[in-house]
Amino acid sequence: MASLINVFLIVVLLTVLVPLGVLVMISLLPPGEWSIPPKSPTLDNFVYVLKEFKFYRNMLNTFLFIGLAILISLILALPTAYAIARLQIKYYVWVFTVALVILVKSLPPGSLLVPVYELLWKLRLTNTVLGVALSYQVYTLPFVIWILTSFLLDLPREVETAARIDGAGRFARLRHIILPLSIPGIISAVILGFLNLWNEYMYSSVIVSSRNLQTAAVVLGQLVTSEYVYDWGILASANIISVLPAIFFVSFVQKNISKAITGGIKG
Amino acid sequence: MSFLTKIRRRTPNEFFLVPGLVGLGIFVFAIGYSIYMSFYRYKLGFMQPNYVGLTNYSMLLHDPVFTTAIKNTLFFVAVASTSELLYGIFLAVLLYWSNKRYLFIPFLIVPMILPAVNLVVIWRFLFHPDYGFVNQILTSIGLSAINPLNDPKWAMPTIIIMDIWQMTPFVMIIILAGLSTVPPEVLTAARIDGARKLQLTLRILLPMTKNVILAVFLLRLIDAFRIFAKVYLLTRGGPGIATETIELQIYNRALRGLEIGLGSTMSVIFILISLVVIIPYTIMVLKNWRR
Repeated sequence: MASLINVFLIVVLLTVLVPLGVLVMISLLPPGEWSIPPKSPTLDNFVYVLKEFKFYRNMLNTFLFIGLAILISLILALPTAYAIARLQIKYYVWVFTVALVILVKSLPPGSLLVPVYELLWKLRLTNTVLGVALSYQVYTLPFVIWILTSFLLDLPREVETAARIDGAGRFARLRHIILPLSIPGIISAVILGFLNLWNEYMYSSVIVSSRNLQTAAVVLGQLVTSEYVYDWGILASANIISVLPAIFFVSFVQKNISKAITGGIKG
Repeated sequence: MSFLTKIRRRTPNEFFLVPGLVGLGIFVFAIGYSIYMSFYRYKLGFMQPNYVGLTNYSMLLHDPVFTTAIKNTLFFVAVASTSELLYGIFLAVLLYWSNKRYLFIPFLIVPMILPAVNLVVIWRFLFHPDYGFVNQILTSIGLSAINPLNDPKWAMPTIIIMDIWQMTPFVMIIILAGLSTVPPEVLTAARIDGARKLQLTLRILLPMTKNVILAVFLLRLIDAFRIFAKVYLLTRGGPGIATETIELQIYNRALRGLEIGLGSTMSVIFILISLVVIIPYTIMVLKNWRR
């Protein structure tokens, strides 16, 4: 029975690995060749993407936008999450706040695209780094409040007691006790935020129109839809390069990733 | 005691909520603004808002493209998330009973972290009509080549399969975590009574994880409304309007045309539809987080 289960899982594993293997093999194809597996594999495509295509610039843009967006969210979210998770607040205020976080977190981002775009357009923030980071708040702000709240709910009550007896107020406790203890929660918020937004296409493509501010995902998207201009090999290697940071981030949280995702489900 | 300390002591606890509430408040304002603008005809930068009453709503609800987009979105959400739930439960149960599960898990969750653009490249190549991997296999075993991405009947199922391929691991990993919390004593007791693996799974394990299953299903339903990048890059809503979705309508028809009024109406309709799954989820989280 146990071996039958494993055989079945190996079949499932193949359905996952074959498409991934195909992507890797395409990236090794020399121009004009279409055989899978490649007859004469080459790394030229990777060299081309890095050297000629200046793809790293778009990846740096993505890093910059996401980094700034998450920083803004963390500053707004930490006191809020602290209050939701650990301070005595009026019940209806608490319900209102939590419901608002979940609502904004769950709304399809597309439903907020039109008003957010118009607001940024009127503030003359389209095509700016700040504008993109502000539009990303649709994703990051409720998400970061959510992650930090479920992290702070898990911290034992006692961590604040000693400081409270010493007469430390809420501001001091937030800065000197909660902030340092939240570092693991903040790290998982940063990593999951990156994973979430690395992929972002809708807002990035609307808020930014100038070529030198475009994100990696948008440039790749344009490449994909213009397959006749570019080689499949170049497309696939650009994709593989773009996914490396994501894999790098996941390897950090591999152990905690399912806990981070489930945070809030079990409570 | 200094003046500043006095102020600090007196601020109510609710004060700490303010930064987050202000940030989220902007989005609440945005929703209110959309409702307001949905009664106007307004082209950003070209014309001032012009009150038209319910014209936008009646126009959209009688528009065959937009109603198809609604139907396609609902079809995708329902079929994709239900399939992912069932397949995810199946895989989680298999992994639960497998003695080698720690070898499988790291590989099985890879699709989950791939960006949508990567998925689209893989899928376009797999199903490319001329040199795609699928057609190479089909023709080599003597079957005729297929071109599902250009077939109005098969384009949407292909997108759904792509989404199942990517998102089932998410369901799987969470349900597996849920199954692992069932205390072993319960299983031992049932086993002594002679229950086998299948019975243990159906009668004990799955009923005991039903809260996790419900939660993950709601999460998938909510998330399935966000398929913009996959559809936009894979088919652009085509062939014809076979894979047109509400998101694509908002993006292409409203925003690219700077039609703020029409786009606001679409957004309001979109929000109303998605609230059907968001409200039960919100209630569930409120119950779980209550201290």
